[in-house]
Amino acid sequence: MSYHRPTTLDDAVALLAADPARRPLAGGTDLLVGTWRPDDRPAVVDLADLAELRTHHLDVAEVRLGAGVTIADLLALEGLADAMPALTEAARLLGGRQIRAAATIGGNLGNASPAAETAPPLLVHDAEVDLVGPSGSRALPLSELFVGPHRTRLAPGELVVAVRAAPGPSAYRRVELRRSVDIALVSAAVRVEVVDGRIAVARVALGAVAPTPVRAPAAEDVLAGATLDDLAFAVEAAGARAAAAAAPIDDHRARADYRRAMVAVVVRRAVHAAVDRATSTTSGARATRPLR
Amino acid sequence: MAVTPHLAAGPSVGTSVPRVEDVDHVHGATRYVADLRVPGTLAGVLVRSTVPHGTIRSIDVSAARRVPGVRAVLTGRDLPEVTFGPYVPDWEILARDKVRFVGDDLVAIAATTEDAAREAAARVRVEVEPLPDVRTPDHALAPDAPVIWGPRPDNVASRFDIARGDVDAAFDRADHMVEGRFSTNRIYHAYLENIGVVAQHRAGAFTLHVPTHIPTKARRTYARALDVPVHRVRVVVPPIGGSFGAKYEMTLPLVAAALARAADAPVRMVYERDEDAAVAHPRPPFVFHHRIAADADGRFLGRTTDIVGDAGARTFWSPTVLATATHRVDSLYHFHTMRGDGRLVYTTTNPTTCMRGFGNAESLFGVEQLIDELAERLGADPVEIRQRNAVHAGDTTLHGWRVDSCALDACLERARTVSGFSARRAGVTGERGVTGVRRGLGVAAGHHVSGYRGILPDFDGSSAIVRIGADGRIALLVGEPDIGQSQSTVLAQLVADQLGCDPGDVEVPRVDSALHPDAVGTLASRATTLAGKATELAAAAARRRLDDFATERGLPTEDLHELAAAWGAAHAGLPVLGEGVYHPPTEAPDDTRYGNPSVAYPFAVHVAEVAVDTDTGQVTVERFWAIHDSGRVVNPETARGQVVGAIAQGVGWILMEDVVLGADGAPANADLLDYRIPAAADVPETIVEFVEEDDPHGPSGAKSLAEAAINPVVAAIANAIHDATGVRVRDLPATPEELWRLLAEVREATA
Repeated sequence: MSYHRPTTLDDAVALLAADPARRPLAGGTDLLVGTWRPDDRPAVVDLADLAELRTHHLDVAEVRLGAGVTIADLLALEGLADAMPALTEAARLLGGRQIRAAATIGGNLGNASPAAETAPPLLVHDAEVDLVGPSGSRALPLSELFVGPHRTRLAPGELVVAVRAAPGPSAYRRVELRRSVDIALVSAAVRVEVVDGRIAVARVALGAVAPTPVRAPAAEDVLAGATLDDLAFAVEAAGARAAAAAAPIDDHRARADYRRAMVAVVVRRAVHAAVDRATSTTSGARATRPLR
Repeated sequence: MAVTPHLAAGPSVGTSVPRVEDVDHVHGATRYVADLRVPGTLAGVLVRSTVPHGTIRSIDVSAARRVPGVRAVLTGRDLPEVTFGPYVPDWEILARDKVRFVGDDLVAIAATTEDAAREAAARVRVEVEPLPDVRTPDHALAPDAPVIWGPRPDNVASRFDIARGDVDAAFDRADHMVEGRFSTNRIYHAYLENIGVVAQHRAGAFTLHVPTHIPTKARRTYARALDVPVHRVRVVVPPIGGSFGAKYEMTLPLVAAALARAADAPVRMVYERDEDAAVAHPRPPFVFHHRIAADADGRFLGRTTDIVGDAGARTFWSPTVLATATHRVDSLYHFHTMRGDGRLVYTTTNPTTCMRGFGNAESLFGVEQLIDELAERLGADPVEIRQRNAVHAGDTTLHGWRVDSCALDACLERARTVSGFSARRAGVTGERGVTGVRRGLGVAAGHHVSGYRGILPDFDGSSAIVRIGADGRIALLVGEPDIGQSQSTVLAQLVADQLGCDPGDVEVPRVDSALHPDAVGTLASRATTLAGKATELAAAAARRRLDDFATERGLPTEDLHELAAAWGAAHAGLPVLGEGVYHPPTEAPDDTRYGNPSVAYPFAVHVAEVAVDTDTGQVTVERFWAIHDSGRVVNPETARGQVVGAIAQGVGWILMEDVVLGADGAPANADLLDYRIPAAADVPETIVEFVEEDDPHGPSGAKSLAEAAINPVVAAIANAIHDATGVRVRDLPATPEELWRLLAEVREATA
């Protein structure tokens, strides 16, 4: 095992680029699991001293979270629960208290688990990730970051440094086998924009039912344009389409047909919750309230 | 009920004095076996079978021996050719001729570092000629099934058959009969402290630091397996970080001991969690077919049960678990006639063993649901029908068990009142159904023993020594190890009340066979009652000695320290020793299994309220009422802790816990990510009450609690799920997916 603790982002990138076996260490809640085995100790580049990764910014148009913001920090951010309710709901379900105190949003995304708790909410909030690597900076839509289980489009030496997303009414629902300290068996995030009693914009994303967290465009299509006083059909159809689009697996945690059925349940519930949020707050006041 | 006199009801029994164990725990000063450091200790590692069943053709350890740092490599051929086991002699320290499951121990290696030992393990070459595996008891019982252990060609490791009265006639004249198939599952004990041992060997004698809670029986087993006299095996019991039945006699201490002898150096072996979850022996799964016959008023006339249990590939404590599952419920209710046929079957899977509840919880899972079915058929109140059949104080039950104290009827009545059972069930929990969120209320009763005669062949009961030094230090030497259930506190209270001191002044040193009395151990919910009684007698004897001495010398008796110092001076430094020997009035069951095996029986009635999300199958246990008869409660807060812990364990059992076997018969979820135990959010709000009536035998009127506390939990929740949805949980666990499937079947059938 080798250990580096750079004090600048440039040094971190250089260290990671120099040896592809090196892994970036943030909260360590994924990386360090199992490392007590002598033959399984990774070479790490500890990002703890990179203060710029722990900054954040909220305004009416955008929420920006540094990759090193912990899940506990995120839950303490004033205004975030109003700006991105789905993300707050997911963050509350991520791990236990100790895990939330250590785990970071960048780590949760960079680890690219199909069940990554924060991914579906960020997907429905049209998130982009800011990356810094040996050949400079770039931004990538979050939906393009994930390639497969624990595989991303990050180039060698490249790091997620921040995630940016658009505020709006949203909700996150999941099915799990234990009420806390558990990963999602199936999860869904939904964001809606309601204009004149109609769903103007709909976003649906699913967790743990495909090799990566995924958007469900077929479900979004059936929701977009639906009127609120005749929502039942659209919600039912959105659930069914999302379930049809999911590619769940059979394993010892659950069989695929159960997972698929649960996709419909969590999508329906998330749609209802998101629509409630979109309509229960005075939308004018919400849109103009300054966020810190 | 009359309050029975005990030696002296002092001021601490009945109060929640702080736990004497906690000071070390909260300071991180408790030293478990994993913390033990003996200079020169070697690391021990096992090579285990990767095939479920096969004949060992060859084991080549030559490359392993050449790894630098390796000090000993052992195969079964290097060890005494001795077989052993608590009930069936089908154990070996390391497999000699055959492997019988994935994980069977094959080769043991000791080296100066764990890395070297693992390196050597990787270089062992084992050639095994595979035999057909046997995954299920059904397969094992098939006529042409492969034989797993030669001396049992029918693959039946043990049987337990018992009958009383003319049960067939009872069923013939019954107005009602309920029956059903129920299955219980493999459960990992999931204690905090993984299994571990440090073994030392010098001049033909062993010292084993091992967290066993039946040290005397373990010593005898270990001596036999190591082929040495029992006095050459010293067992030192470190603090035990939970067991729930897993840490009786284990084979790991034998592996470490054999390595220590071969290497002539101490050997340490401590499992990591994934290893522990993979190789520790789980609760045995059972399939029950229960029948209950009743008259028109819901009075039981008879019952039958057929049980097939899974012993796994070697027999640990599963035979007694089977026996319990077959007949213990006959001392909860009067069934009047019964027949039970139990078979315990070998499979090529990890051996199973006992766990808290010991077959009784497994049996009650089905029986208590059938009683609810009977109540529903009769239109009777579920509490009422249990009251009609409940045992009472003074009864001798079907198998000759003498129930000298029993508040079961009062517990049932109190449970009904405290939970508002009838009104909640009728109104608050609402309509039964398979759509939306449905709420339901369920009740179940349970009981257990306070010790069980026959665990050691030579004695039941317990003995204790209270030692008061001239410096005033008070120590209690009792052979029953503390297993984290607040036992030291409870025993310290019993000592304190006899001596007239503070429980915090009483030390309860960890069991060391070189100093402590031999003991049956901490199992069968027996420590408070039996070790407690011996403790009380020992403390009373010490007090009497001091009082007699004071009278003789004309000294004041108020200051224990001054008196002890005077005693020491008068006896050339000898501490005051009080001895307590308690022989409970129990009987070894006769050839028909008739006889009273336990001195006292605890009872419990639990009520669970659940919410079932029928879209997902998720169950939330929202409220729980636990009403207990444990006689006089020594420490209400630690007693409450045992009950709340049992409820959490039961919630886990019915809703999420399950050792899932892969295609090779080995656990596929051997970690705490996928072997889920409940977290705080899964555990309900709980009201715990004790109906306190003194038991005539137990110390200060106390009897047991530990296992009675888990026995009704699973059945109460299952009955609540049925009340909410009309769906019966017949197979454990009722995971969201399984319950969703059951609900979907009903929806489809009614659509």
